[in-house]
This record gives sequence, structure tokens and C-alpha cells, in this order.
Amino acid sequence: MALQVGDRAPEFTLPRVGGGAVSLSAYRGGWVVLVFLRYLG
Amino acid sequence: MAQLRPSYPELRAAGSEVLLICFDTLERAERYAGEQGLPFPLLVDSERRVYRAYGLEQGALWRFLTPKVALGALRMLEGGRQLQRPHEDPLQLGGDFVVDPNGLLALVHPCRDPTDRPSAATLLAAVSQTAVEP
Repeated sequence: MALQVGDRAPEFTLPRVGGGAVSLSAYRGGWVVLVFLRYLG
Repeated sequence: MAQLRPSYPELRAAGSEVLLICFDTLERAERYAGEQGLPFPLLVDSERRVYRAYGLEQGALWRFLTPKVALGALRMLEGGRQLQRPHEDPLQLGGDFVVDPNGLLALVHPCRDPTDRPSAATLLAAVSQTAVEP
């Protein structure tokens, strides 16, 4: 089932360039733009 | 991503954070971020678990052979840029999502082909909505 507007955004924790990890839930209370890249460039 | 960079201050001013996610190796991502001086946090999803969780599948080959994609490649060549070879999986498609302060999706845009990305203005409009109360 494809994600739809209004669905809960799937939570994730990923390593961050520069060190540490980032969880989507850390941004609760603010807007987040997620940009999934095809490749670096 | 390049088209987003000029809008980053506006997106931040609208109270949003922009997270870039790639599926390259951490080492290559670190080198790239260092070369580019990225203003955005860059996250690495080497196993593409989050790509799959957001429904970003590998595109069928025919999606890469459309006139629009070919035109985009030509424009890059005209602009003096070399065509960059996608690392590891040229069929992986990207996507853009906006998450509201409650953790709900306000914009869902899985790319249908490599040129199919929302404009920075579209993303800015999405984060400028005021109907959502955190």
C-alpha cells in the first residue's frame, strides 16, 4: 500500500555524515522535508 | 538537490528542516558532503530500508528511456556537465516527502522517473501550511 497524505511518516534512524545518527521523531513539532536522492551529485 | 540549495534559508525560516537521504556508502557520502559543503544534514541508508519503507522502489528500465529524461541528459551535456553515473543502482528512484509537526505526511511524491521531482516552491508551499496545529 503506497503512502498517502495524512499517513504517519515511517519512523527511521539513520547515520548522519559528520557523525551520530538522526531519527525522524527528533523533529516532532516542526516540519521536515525528506529528500531521497537517486545518487550523490 | 541543487535546486533546493537556494531555497534552504526560506525552508529553514518556515520552521522546517531538510534531510537529504542517500543510499551510497558512508565513506562516499562523507567525501561528497565535504566537497559540496552541503547546508543540509545528509543521512545514509546503505541498505535502502528507509527507501523501501517510503515506497521508493526501483524503476522499470523504460521509465529511464523517456524523451523527457533524454532531454534532461542533453541539457546537462550542453551545460558542460558530465553525465554522472548513478552509483551502484541506476534504477533506484528518489522521492520527496513533507512531514508535518504531528509526524503525518503532508506531501508524498515518489518519483516516477529520474526527472520527476517537485519544485522547491512546491515544497516551500507545503511547509508553509498553517492548518496543522502541533
